[in-house]
Amino acid sequence: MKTQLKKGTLDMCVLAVLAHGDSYAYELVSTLSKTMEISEGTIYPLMRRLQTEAWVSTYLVESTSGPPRKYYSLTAQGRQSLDAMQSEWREFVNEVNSVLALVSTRGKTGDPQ
Amino acid sequence: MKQDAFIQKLRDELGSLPKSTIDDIIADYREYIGDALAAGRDEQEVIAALGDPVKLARELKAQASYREWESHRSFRNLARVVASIAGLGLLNMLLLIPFMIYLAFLTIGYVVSIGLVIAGIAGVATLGSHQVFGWPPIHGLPFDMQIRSDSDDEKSAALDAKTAAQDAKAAAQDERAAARDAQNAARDAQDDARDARDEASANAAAKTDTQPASTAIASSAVSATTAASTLPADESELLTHVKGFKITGDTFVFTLNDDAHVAIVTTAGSVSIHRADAGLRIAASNTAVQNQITITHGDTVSIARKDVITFSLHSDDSRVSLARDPRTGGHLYWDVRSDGKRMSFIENSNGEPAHLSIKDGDSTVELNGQELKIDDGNDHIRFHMRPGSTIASTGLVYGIAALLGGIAGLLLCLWLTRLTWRALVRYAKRQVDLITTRLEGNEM
Repeated sequence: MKTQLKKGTLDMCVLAVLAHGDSYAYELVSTLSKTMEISEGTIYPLMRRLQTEAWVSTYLVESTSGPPRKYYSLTAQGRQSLDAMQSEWREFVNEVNSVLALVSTRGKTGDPQ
Repeated sequence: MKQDAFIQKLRDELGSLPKSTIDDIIADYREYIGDALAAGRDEQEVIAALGDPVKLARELKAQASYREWESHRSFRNLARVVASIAGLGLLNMLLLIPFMIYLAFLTIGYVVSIGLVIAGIAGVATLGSHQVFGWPPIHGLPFDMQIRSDSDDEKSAALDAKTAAQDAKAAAQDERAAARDAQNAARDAQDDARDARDEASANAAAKTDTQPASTAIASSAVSATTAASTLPADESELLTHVKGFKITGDTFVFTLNDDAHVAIVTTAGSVSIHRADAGLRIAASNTAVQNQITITHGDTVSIARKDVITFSLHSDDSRVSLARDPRTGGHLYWDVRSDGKRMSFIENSNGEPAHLSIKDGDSTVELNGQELKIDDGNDHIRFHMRPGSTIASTGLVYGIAALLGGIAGLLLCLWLTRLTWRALVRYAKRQVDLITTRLEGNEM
């Protein structure tokens, strides 16, 4: 259940992180993994897919240590998709929350409103 | 596993992708590992977190090939998608075998259709050009040939009987009617006195006259048929015995010798002619008939072909009889017999032969419409013209049929290919979606 839920929303989470500023793979994973479980190996397939959707673009930045870093940046199209996803997500969460609230209220008081 | 081992394994597994794509993927993972190590993480732990490079590579490959396919929809790219899906073990092999058989049939369908189209175009172009411009020349025999041989004497005897029966049947009632008419006419003639004879002069005249006569009959009977060359030998020999009869243009000319008598039914009436000591003795039913016949040299009689309804000439052992059939628009039924040889043929009103048969003992030559039979009692040869068509027009029909069939086949194949293509694309897309789901859903 958890993975199913996460799968659809992972795109949105990555886009949401990028909305706050351009980032690179390791930083993205670090940010996401602060609050959610993420398998590191699959960040690239995911980013490639987002690139294919033209939601993110990339550019290289020379790094002081090691190879140049690939930075991901949200495109205008990506922002639109993010907005759509967010409103859809909020709607969905609200619906779920109201159902849960209803059930829990009923459970506690035994008195349906 | 160390970083380098992971990278090497990944690179090996990605082998079939374009080098730039591989380099890009490798650079991504190098960067990631570099960042992780810079953050102070343990190399082993980072590599373990990235997952199995073999599995990762296969999934990346499937995705990459699918992306490649999306940007450039060629069969090659689709084949790669399918191959990469197969690499992941998602493609059901049991499904693949019938699919391959189907593809093989589709290929055969293409080959056959294209072959038919090419053959059709070539045939139609060649024969069309032949018919319109007369080029290229087409040498072909527009008939079927059957050769049958009976070596056994008894069998051949039986077959003779059968052939005779067939002959009679083939020559049909028409010929019988002709013979009957001629015989009636002949009997009329026999009733008259037959005392006048002049052997020498008649025979002499006849010998010189028959040769052109036979040629005239032969050419009128079989002109414009390929069989012509095979007939004159029999025919001329046969007619040589029928002395003193020839056809000159539209006129029948006959010289009566000893013993000979002629009975003719004309459009005006009937007449019978015998040889008498002093000359010809003519018994005509009326003067109109008499006016239709012309006598020259005292013993040579001529009459216009169009005036003759039945004609019968008898001499020693020869007989020429002919009858016109008013029902069939003036077909002429000829029957010539001499010394056991027999030739009969039917001429239509244009003077073209409709039926010809020649018999000499066991041997028969029969030309009937589009069929030629040659039979000597042992060997039976049968030529059959293809009805109503020359080789060129038959070929043209086949050519057009091949062309149309080929085009229809090609359209069917194209339609099937389109259908297959779409199904394959849909299948590939579903499989790639499944991979993505597996990649991002299960492991995150």
